Amino acid sequence: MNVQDLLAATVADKAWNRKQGRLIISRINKLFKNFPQTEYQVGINYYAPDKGYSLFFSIKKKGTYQRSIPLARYPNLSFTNLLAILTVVRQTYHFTFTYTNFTSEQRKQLYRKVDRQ
Amino acid sequence: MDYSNEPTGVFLVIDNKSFYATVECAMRGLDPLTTPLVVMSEAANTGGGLILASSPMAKKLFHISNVNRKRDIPNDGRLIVVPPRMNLYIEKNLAVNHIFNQYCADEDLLPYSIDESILDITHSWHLFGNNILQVIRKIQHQVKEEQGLVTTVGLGNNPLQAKIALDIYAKHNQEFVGVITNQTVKQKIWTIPQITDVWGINRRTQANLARLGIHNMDQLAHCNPYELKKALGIIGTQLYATAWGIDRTCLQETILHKDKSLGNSQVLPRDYCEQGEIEVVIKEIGAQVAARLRAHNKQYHGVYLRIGYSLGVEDADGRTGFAHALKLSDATAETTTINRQLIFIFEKYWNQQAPVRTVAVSCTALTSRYGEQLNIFNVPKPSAISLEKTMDTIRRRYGKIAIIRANSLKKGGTFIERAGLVGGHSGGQSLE
Repeated sequence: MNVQDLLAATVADKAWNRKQGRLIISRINKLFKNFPQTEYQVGINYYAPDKGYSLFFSIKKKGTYQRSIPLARYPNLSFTNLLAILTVVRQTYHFTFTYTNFTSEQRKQLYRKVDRQ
Repeated sequence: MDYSNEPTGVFLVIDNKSFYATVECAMRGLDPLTTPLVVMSEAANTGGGLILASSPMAKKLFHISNVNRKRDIPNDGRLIVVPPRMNLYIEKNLAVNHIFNQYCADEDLLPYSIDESILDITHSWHLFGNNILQVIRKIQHQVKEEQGLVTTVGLGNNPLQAKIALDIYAKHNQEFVGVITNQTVKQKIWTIPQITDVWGINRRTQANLARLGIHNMDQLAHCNPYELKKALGIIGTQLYATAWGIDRTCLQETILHKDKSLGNSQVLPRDYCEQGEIEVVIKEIGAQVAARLRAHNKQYHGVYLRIGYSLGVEDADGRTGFAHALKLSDATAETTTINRQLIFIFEKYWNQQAPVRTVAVSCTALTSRYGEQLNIFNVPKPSAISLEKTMDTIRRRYGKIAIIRANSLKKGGTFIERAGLVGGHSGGQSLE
């Protein structure tokens, strides 16, 4: 792959990440009602069989059961792309993001690049 | 009983423990055995919500079981409720069967349901371990490692023994393995306390057996098989064989269906009282069945319509619905013809009053589609079939609602809403 191809691929990747981020935001828009005494969270899990990530929106209303609704599933997704997607989502929503099955190094990066935004 | 002439193979029936709930837990990075999670379908026809699966912990803590309703779910913050993703479960079922396929040949593997498979490892188990239990643990471990799912295994000399071992013993065993062999039938099958726990015996069969003075498996094994056959027909013989743990099924044999039929049914989201509305749904289902016929390259000679009334409603004859069939002079796979016949049956037998809640349509007496039989009474219409084939192609490529009949836009139509469902429940991404 020459430099131009690499550049084109990177640009396409960035556009795809932004698109996915916006898609997740649009899905959260439909679910987020900002009810009182309700906790909203976004859960991100590294799912090894897919070699990728699954995202869920969790709604915990006081005094009732919690709901967990799938937002997206990305098989064969790199950690870098995930970071980019979450960064887009973070610009709109500041819910708690919970991470499962991530290494400590990845958690640090997520904290620096996503949570601290 | 002399078992020397009975098959002594090594059969496994493997079940994915609380399959849907376990898949959902695995996708969320949660432990399927310790997380209280339920999968609840909130499709319009479920009356608010229908529980499709619950994790072992949800069953233990809240006594939730499948087919409970939304109203049965306790308001407890520990409980996680998730929507179903049927396409994902099908994908996982294929992945798990792919693992099983590594332990036996294609013809020795029979996917029995979405979460159960029957394996004949008689000729292959010694390739994977020194004893059968070791091979079973290896399979369980591999499924857990690669897919994050928990499996329970029934082992027997035939599929029946393996299935009963799974249902009665494996689910309550710490290692999730149950075993019944020809030698342990007496100890393991005759002692089952509740006769309805046995595969193939439901409450109606239990009542039939009770009328004959049979209340448990021991009594069933020691009754007169000829009298049982006389009273219950061929089922009586099957039940007698079940009590003795006898099953001569050969997984490799292909079962030939003499008279196959294809059908679809629907529970409506509300009571349908207007004739026009009901006919829209009948036509939608008719079109769906016709499309399936064309996909299977089949045509039909007969149609069957079953209408179920709303709960508690009976017509003048005390019936809760009706079912009638019609035979056609020529076989066809054309939607318009099937719908015409269905509407004819419906208008003939519906009393214009009873609210309708279920509709089922079947095409019977199927034959291969080789062309159109010409006759002197009807003008041949090859263009109708080719038009429908084109519509089928468009739907396959661009989705079910890429092209729809205008009828579906009428009041009462359910086709558009149901397009994303698989087996009547949400197929996947619940927000799409």
